[in-house]
Amino acid sequence: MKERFKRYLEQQFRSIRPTMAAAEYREKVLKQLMDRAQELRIKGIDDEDLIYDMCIEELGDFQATLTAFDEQEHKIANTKRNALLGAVCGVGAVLALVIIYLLVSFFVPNSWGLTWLILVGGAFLGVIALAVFMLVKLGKAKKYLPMRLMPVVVIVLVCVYLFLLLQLVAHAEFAWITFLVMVIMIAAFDAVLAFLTDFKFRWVELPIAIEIVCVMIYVIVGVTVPGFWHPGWLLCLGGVVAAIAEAIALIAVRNGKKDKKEKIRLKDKYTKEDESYYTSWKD
Amino acid sequence: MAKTLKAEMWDKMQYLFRNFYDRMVHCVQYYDGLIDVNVLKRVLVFTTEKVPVLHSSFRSNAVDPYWQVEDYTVNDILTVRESADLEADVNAFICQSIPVESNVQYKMAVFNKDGKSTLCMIVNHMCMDGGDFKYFMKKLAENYNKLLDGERSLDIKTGSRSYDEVYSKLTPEEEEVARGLYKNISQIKDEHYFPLTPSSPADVTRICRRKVGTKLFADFRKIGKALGVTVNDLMLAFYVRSLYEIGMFRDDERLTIPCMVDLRRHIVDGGIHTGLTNHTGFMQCSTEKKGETINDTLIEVLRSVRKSKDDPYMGLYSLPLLKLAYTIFPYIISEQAIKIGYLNPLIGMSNIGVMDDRALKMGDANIIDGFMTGAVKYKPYMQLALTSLLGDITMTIAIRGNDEDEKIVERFFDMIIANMKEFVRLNSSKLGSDPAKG
Repeated sequence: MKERFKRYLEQQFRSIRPTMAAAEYREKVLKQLMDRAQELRIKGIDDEDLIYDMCIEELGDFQATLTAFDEQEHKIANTKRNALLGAVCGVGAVLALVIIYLLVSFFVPNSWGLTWLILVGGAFLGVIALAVFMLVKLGKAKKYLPMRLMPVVVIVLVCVYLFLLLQLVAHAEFAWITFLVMVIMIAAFDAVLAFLTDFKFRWVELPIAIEIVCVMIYVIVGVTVPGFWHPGWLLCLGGVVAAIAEAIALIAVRNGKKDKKEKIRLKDKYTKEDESYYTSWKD
Repeated sequence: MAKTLKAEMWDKMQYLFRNFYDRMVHCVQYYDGLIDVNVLKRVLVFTTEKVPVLHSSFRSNAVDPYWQVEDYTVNDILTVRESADLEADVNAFICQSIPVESNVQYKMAVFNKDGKSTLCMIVNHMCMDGGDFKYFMKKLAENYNKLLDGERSLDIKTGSRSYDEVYSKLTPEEEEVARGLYKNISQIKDEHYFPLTPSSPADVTRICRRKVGTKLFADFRKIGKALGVTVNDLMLAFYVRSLYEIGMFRDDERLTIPCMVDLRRHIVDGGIHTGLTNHTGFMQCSTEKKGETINDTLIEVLRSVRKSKDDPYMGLYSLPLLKLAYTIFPYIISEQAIKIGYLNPLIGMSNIGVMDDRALKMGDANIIDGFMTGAVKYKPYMQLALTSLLGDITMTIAIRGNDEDEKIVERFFDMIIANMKEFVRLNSSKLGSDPAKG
């Protein structure tokens, strides 16, 4: 019996990759089959052919099971490989960054005060890469709420780094405006993502995001363009205007749908009445 | 200054078990001729000298108990007597208990009657378990025969008694895993108990025994072989089913029985180089239901024991936890801590295994009957012990009980035998074939 099971499994396992895990799985299935055969014998079946057939039949669609097993194993192997590759690349990137930092610091005169930005930039880049990876992964898993946190991380890090560059390297007067731009970008990105992911409260979020963007633009322009504060404040009403416009649009769309339904209902009614007229007789 | 020996982990654990049983392991061997007592005395002195724990007293103290090596004479160990009532003498001898404070930790008796000797031995379970007891008796016979043949190269193993010898056969990776098995398997609680009478002053030590019979044993062993089932699995099935019957447990009740396992399977060369000690763990056998027939019970048993048999660390669970308790606490606290965490099983089974008749031959005297059994359990605890010799199995249940308890045990043996017969009847077609070979 054992030899028969072995032969069966040898044949079946040819359809999947010859890995260590597959060999272990094959042993496990063989043991399962032998245990089951023993149970059937104890239950009173004497016919070895019948026992064999019953055991094999109980495996169900074994090819499908094997394919699923193989895919799962492949997936695990790929994940492991990718993780290893990622770790190696990460270590390589860190080393490269440190080398660049040291080279620039040593060979560019009086640069020690700024070259640390290279290391900070590298660290930020690493976190951004991780955030983008998580964004994609969470998006695929349809875990939208944590997914929407990822662009926030990216935008904050980009803006902080941009601020450092403008402030420390370019000595720009209004470098701090980067943080106001950061708020605009966060609000805008999140609103877009809310619509892309069919967020339940997207229509509520939209006017709030527009209001935030309007206020931030008002402050930025107010600070940089003399005399804009008045009547520029009207810009702050952007959110309110957007909300009203949105409400009107939504009502219009709703009414349109309602009209369409009503028209269909009436058309059905008239069709039935016409049909009734054409087919009714006094007798 | 008196010589002392370290009290190993299992010594302390067996000492703790004094609350559940009398800590004695018993053996009786019937011979068809006379044993030369003078030769036997020489062997006993040699053995006792080589294994100092056998002539030591156990000194329990609050921090770290130990063995103190004591003086002795062979007369402290061996009793030789002509017997008028052999069974009465045998029972009286094996039902005694050796105090831990005694200068010797084992006692032997030779009862002679009608030109035949009966060799009885009891030993403190703290010194050795059933596995090493079998080894001890074999070595005793071997050394006896050597002396009779004029040889002087006697031997007995004298290696380490440490519990961690059980890891010696494992690979470093496996050992790392095994040393991390802190799971307390004694915590698998089973409330079923064997229906003995309540404790009373009339309770005395009784070692009830019943032989299965060579024909019946041969028959169910042959069927078992045809079905690919071990004798141990079969005995577990008979035992479990009989427990359902005598305990009147519901058929769909889950019943968990611990079955003792010899941990020497994890030791290099099966432990022939370690010292005489305990290396016993247990595996749980849980049946979900009684089953319609004995065959169904067997399937239930097999489903349970397969899990243990497939586990490369069978029996090694909880050892690191015990070791940890004895390491971090002084003895007095560790004992209390272990008492809290350890649940002594109410019902158990121990298959001591085969007694090799050829190895137990003493000179011209052949062994014609015999058995080994574990400690005498105090109510409500109970354990079935099994030994096989000359193609027969002896079942023993050692308890402290009264006449009524003995009747209950006898009735229980009847049930086991009835289940064996039923198994043979149900599977009689297998007696003539061996389909498992396939």
